[in-house]
Amino acid sequence: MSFVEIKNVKKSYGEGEARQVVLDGVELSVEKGEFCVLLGPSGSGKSTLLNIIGGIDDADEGYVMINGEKTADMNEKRLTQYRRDHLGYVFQLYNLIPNLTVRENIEVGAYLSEKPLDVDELLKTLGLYEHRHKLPTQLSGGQQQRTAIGRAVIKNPDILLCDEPTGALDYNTSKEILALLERVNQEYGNTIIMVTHNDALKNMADRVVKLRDGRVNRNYLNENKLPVSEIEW
Amino acid sequence: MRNPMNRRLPRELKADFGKYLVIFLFITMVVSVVSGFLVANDGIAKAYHRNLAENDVEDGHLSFNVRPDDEFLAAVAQKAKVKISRADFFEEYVGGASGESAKSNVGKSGEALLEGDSGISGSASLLGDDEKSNTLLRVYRASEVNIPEIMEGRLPQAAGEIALDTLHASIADIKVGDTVNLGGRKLTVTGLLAFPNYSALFKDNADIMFDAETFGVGLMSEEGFDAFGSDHVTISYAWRYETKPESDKAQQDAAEAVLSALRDELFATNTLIVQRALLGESGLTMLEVSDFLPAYENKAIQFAGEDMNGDEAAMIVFLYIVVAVLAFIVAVTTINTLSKEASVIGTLRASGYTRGEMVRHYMALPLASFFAGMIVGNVLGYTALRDFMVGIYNDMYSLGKVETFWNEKAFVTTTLWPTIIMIVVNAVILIWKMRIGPLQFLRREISGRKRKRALKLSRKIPFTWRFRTRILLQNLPNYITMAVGIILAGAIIIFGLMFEPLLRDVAKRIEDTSISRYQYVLKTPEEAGDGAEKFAIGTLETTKKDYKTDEVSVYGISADSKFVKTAIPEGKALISNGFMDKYNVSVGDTVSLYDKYADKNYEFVVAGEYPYEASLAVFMNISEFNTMFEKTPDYYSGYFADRELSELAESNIYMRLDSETFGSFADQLWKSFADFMEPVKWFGVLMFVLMVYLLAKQIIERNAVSISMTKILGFTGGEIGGLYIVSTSLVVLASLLLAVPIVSWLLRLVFKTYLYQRMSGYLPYCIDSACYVKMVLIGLASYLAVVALQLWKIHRIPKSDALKTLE
Repeated sequence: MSFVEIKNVKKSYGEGEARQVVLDGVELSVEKGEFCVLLGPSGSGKSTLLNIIGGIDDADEGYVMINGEKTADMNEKRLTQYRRDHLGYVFQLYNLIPNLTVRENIEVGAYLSEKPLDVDELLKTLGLYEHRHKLPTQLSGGQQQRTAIGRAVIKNPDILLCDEPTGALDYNTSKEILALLERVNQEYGNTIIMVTHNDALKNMADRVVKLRDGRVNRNYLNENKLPVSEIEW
Repeated sequence: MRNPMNRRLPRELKADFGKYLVIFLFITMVVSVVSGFLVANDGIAKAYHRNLAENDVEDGHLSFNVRPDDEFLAAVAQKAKVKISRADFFEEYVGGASGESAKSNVGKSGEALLEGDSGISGSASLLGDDEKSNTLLRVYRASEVNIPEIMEGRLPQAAGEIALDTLHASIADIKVGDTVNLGGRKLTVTGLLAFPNYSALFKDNADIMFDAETFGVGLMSEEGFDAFGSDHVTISYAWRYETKPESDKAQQDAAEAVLSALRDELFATNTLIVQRALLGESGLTMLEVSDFLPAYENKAIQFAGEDMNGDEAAMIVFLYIVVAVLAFIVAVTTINTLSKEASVIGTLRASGYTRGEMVRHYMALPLASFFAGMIVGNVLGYTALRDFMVGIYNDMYSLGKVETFWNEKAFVTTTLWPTIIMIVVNAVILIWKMRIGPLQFLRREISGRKRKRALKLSRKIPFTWRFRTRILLQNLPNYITMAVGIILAGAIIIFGLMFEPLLRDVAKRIEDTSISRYQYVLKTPEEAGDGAEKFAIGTLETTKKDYKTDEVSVYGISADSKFVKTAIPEGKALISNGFMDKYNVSVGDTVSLYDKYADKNYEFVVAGEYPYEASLAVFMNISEFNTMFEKTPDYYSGYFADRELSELAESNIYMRLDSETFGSFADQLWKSFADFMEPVKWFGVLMFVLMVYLLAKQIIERNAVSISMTKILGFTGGEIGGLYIVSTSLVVLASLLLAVPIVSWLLRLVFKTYLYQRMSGYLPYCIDSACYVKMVLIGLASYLAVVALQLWKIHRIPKSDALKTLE
């Protein structure tokens, strides 16, 4: 059994004629420690799938099983605990707490874990150590996103879910962030599932899943994985 | 690890200090007032009861025309099982030296003098030797009953010394060491006292209201009293029961026993006097009782105690309403914060923060400011406000030294219940808001409803008005809370404003509806000259459940009365308008009234309303009155007249009512209200300002990015204010105008369902329309201050806000 198993997941919004199918029987498996990239154009259902994996949205049919546990069987309380213990989230918008410093924002994540990583070490890994006492408004977009990643990574989650983490960033900063995720994956061994519409990023993944019209169009293991530094777009 | 989110709290506090300050001030204000009131009320009630219990207050007193012999008193005491003590007093006008009976001078001016000591001037010395005063002092001879509490100085010992009741002394600005000129003789004031039998300074038990301005009580030592040699000494005795009767009925029976013993002994004594006179002895005087008053009927003893019980429930209801409104205001501001931080909340919830953690986090600061307000409010309540409230009572009553006690009830009332209201309201609203999932927060769909289509607004409406309408719709919960708060604050302001014109109106109405210019109630029937019309009068009590007992004057009106011009149908009665209004009586109803002395109920069929505001009254034909109350057919007990009936013996007049009496009643009533009402008004104003400020601030903050964008687009500060502030201003104005009918309805409800049940007597429900105008003007003037703060806030929003990436 794979670490993440997604079976026949269907999801639609609206009713009657306005009904829009977003996911139409998605089947997918991700192994522990894999860096999985979910690719697809806008509206292909990749963010919805990520939200269902993360337990913040429900599937209409099918299920998501993580480490042998079906998320659909969990009640709200158990689901929250599950997210607390096993998941880390990174969004396109950083959603940092504006009146907490960089370090404190990362500690917000650390608080959720019984065995968090060392904050100072992570700050250094993130290249934020010198900025640790700054408020989010004093940081660049890239630094803010690095802080958001730090907040997600600090609790050393089993799975890191990233929804277009570079969507709001320029080319160089995007590369910097992706390199960081690559490093986190290698150093801490977290399973990473990253949603992106940037086709070039398939090269950095262990597994590439292409979604189109709510279905898995392609799902393959990338045998020619490249470091981010060598990827151009 | 401590929750790092907690580190936000001091920064939040600093960043949004205005909001938390408002919550703090609001709760401090209301808790301090109510707590101060309850603590003061409790302390005063204890002082009042202590003064009664510890200082041997009389159970009743009686006066005679001549001094009875010891055997007479001993016989009464033995029969009625009481102890009788000498309690003589004399009455003199301050400065008055005339030989007339002091009592006969009521309403006239005697010569007056209050002299300052050693040339020290004060108002005590403002009256010169030739100036006149209508201030009457009743000076008691030191006795073993009614022992006064010494508030300052000492009791008088030598001749030429006097101690005065502290309340009257403070009004007349008399201090220890001052000299009082009484009946032409100078007396040195040695002390200021609180008499247990004069907590309220009623000159006469028939008076409607106490009067500490023109009436005071004093005490002299036995030697000093005798040496003074007043011509106006009343031979008086006070009695105390050997076994204290507990119930009302037992008190009545005990007083009846005294009266009965007195009658028996009077009969025996006077029979003996007649016999001795028949035997040729001369110079004998029949013994007569000139006054008989059990303590439970003595207003000077009972009034203050009854008055204290009245206002507590009203204050508590007021507190709970204000706290509930505040709780909703706080909840609205917290919802705004949730809206502002929706994406952060979504991220935290997605990361595994629980609902409980989020609810606690967002409740922490409002509750902390609330608790801080509670603590400061209670501290102020036990100190400054307590003193203020005690001061108000001390301006009306002489109650002895007031001590503050830890008041569990006040704590529970002012702290525990408001805290529960605050926590429950906020927790319920926050939990309700937090019920939505992290995804909705991330998508900023925090209303929990699916987004509806924008309300279509006609393009004929100018752009600015469409903009304002959108602001109104966007902030509807804020505006609804604001409207409710404004109406409540308006009600408080009106309550603070309404009584002065109301009481003036009452005085005018009493005068306008007076049956005659003078009304005399006699002790025994006595013929008067032309222009006087006989009537009979009796007093009964109302018995309506849940209502405080009212005394009702039942008039027997002469046939073809020149004064009561409405014909009274046979077998029926007219009811005064106040009675009809207060007790919801209609024509055709049967009214039942109770005679507590005879333990008997009387029924009256209502034929109609009679305009009479001086008291609650029933008017029936005198012949029917005399039949109903088992009087002789020609019985009467008073006169209506438009002239002073100087031919009547002053000693036979039980009560005389004229416009002056009622005018002073309204004045005194207003004086006792004024101290309370002024703070109430300002409390309403402050509540208005704080609440409107807090909610208006939320609207500006919520739209900070849009405001910033409009600045970038080139809108001027004034134009932006025109968009955002005009919407709020319209709500404020509309709420103030809406407050007029609602407050009118609300206060009518308070009068009818609450006040009328708890107060004896009648106050018509009428609010001078000027009060509403004042309320709206005060509201608008207060709002101007808020507008200034809003403009300043808009001015401070940087253009860069709109350019930042949304957090």
